[in-house]
Amino acid sequence: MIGHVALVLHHHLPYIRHPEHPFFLEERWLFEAITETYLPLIEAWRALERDGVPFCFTASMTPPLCNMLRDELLCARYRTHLATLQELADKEVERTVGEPESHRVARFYQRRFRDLSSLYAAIDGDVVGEYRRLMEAGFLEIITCTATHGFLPLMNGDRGAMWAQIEVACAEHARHFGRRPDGIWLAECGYVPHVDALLAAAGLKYFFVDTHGIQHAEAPPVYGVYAPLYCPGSGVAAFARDPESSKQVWSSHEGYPGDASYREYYRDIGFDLELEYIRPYIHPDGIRINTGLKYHRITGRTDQKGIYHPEQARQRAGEHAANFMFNRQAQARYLASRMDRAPVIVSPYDAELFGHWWYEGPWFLEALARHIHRDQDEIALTTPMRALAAQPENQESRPGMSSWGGGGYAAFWCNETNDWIYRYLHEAARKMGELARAFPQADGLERRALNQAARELLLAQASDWAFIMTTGTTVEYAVKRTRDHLATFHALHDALVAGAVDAALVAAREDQWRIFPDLDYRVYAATP
Amino acid sequence: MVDVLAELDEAVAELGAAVAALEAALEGEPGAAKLESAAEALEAATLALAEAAAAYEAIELPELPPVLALPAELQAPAAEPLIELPTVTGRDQIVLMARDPHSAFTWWELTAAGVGRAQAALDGPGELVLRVYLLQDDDQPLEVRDLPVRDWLGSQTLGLDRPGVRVVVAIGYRAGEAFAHVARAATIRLPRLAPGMSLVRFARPNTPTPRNPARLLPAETPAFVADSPALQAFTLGQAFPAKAADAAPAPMSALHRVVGSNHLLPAGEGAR
Repeated sequence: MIGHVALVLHHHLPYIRHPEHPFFLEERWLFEAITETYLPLIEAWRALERDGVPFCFTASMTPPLCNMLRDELLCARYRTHLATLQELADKEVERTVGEPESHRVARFYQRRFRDLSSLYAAIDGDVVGEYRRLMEAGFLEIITCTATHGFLPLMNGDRGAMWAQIEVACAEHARHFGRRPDGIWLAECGYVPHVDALLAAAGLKYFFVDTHGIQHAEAPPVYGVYAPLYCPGSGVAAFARDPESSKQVWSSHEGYPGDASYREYYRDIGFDLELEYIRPYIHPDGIRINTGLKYHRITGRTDQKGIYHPEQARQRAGEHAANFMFNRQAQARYLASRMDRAPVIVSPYDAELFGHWWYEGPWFLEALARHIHRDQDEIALTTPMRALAAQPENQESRPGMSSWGGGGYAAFWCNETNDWIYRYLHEAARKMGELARAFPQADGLERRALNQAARELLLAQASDWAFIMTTGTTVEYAVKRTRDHLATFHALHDALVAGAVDAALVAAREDQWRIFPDLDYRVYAATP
Repeated sequence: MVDVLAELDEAVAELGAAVAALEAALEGEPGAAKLESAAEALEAATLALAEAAAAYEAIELPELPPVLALPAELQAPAAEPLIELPTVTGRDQIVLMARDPHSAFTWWELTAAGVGRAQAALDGPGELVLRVYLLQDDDQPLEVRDLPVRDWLGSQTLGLDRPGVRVVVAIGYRAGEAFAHVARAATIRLPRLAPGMSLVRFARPNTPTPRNPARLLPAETPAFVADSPALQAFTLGQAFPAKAADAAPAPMSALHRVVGSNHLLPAGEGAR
């Protein structure tokens, strides 16, 4: 092999769970991702496994997502959601009888939802468990992420706060996957120099940065972004994103997902059909939302969209997979002629891009694995641990501060829409450290209150809230969550200091936010 | 530079302690000796501060352009009215964080006691300013500029436009040439826009090994059995008119020489 391709899929959704509401719009983010991304990815990987196609992908699974995927309430709600989708697809098959093209799409959805429902049942509704099985079978290298997707560069260098985000994530990973992780996806690829020392203390061996993180490292990177760097002192390896392969998939203009054959995300029968017909399948208040049934293809830059042809779209995904491989081969040949080792081309993506945004994405990945196995012998899929084992000697240099968000640094999470949160987050993190040191051996209610205070802080630190405030969508919810977790943190803090913990408050919060059941607040007093 | 600032810190702290001692003497039981002792301590602290201030003022700084503040529309607004959250912590503090190679974000909180101590160190009430120090790696100043601010509780995005530079910010009062700070942030470094100049060296730390290396990619792989019908007709490398990526990847022509090595690699273009 002259080159290796490491495909990395970052799986994440913010922790959203609202038992107090029978219908909660933001919970649908999880349901849509299960239907359109996680189950289709599992379907693709199982097909490869069944057909004896060797493959290996890296999957980062964040603790919030793992907790939601295994939450009893959310799983029950998902089953209802999926049943409703099947019902809607059945109705659509009847409604479209007189429209042959649409009818064919309706029948596709009818079949699709039944298949997904069968798959969900076959894995006992345990998406995380199936990922674990695929990991244990050697097909996936599953890594973690900061505990609540906390963005480390904006934690003011507070080692206690950063350590808690890292260590809680590793412990949670072990709970779900039976072992601590080898690697971590720093939320938003947010690297700040010297945080690698904390990663090493947690037993982590590698992380990812964006392209310029390595291009602007302390020493010039002799292999560019096509070999990892070891951070001096910690020895943790940093892998960087390859810009070329990223652009081919990410770019909304040049990228594959913009192809005319693919399903148009922005046309959905939740908006297109008569309100009375669609009412049972949208928001209970009659607010139109996406249902997941979309009849059109991208077609072009026009409002006159053609009808979607799933078979043609799947064929196109196969062609794009072959093209992706073709370009990686050319890239590997070029790089190999200039390097004394096989280049490692790292291609990381948000997992939810595949299926949710780019409906045909899981088909693309499946086809890519098949093409790489069957049609060439120049490149192979790899994972960071495999790459490090194959080439343990690497350049030593520390990457520069960077992220993969807009602008490439921290400004996307710290601007005029959201910078007000940092005063409160920093102060709460400082107080949490004080609490952990003041109560070294708490038990009973006091211990539960301390654990809940840590939980509230971690949830408030989720980068999703600042992200949403910048993007301007569902800002009210993001502000409410930030404020709610911080206010509860302070209430618990004050009660602990006063020696008057409210058992009802602790119980209510534990019941609502069921993330990190094994959390030990003393992580805040044990920074290495 | 750092030593001078430390001396200033110390002198301000001593003055604060002397003021507190005098206040205690005034509030406690009358006693001429106690009062006299406190007054002497205050005088000594004032003198020490004056000396430290003089040393600070004696530092010769190059004439440099002012620190650029972002346009008003990009400045951080006042904190959101988060009624449930305790806005004031009762501590003098200022925090500085890098946003990108060109800017940093700072938030601060001042207390009456902290402000009192700073103002006591000056001849007059003074003007509240953010003092921004851009430092070289050896702590020598590149720029020192003041940004007037109004509130004891506030935040601001600082346009610095000096990628890779070390930055520290203090908040305090300026009267004439004298500056007494109330709080100072930890030093940060703005991200670089180019690689640093450290030596190229290689390492082999810990020799990482996969947990199940044999299972990741089996040496003997089963033959391909089936494929989706849509893929069967596809031929590798066929003409691909829809995309511009048929030939060698475009950025490959953009080469840059890597200092300290014989390798030539593409500079690459970030795609986010």
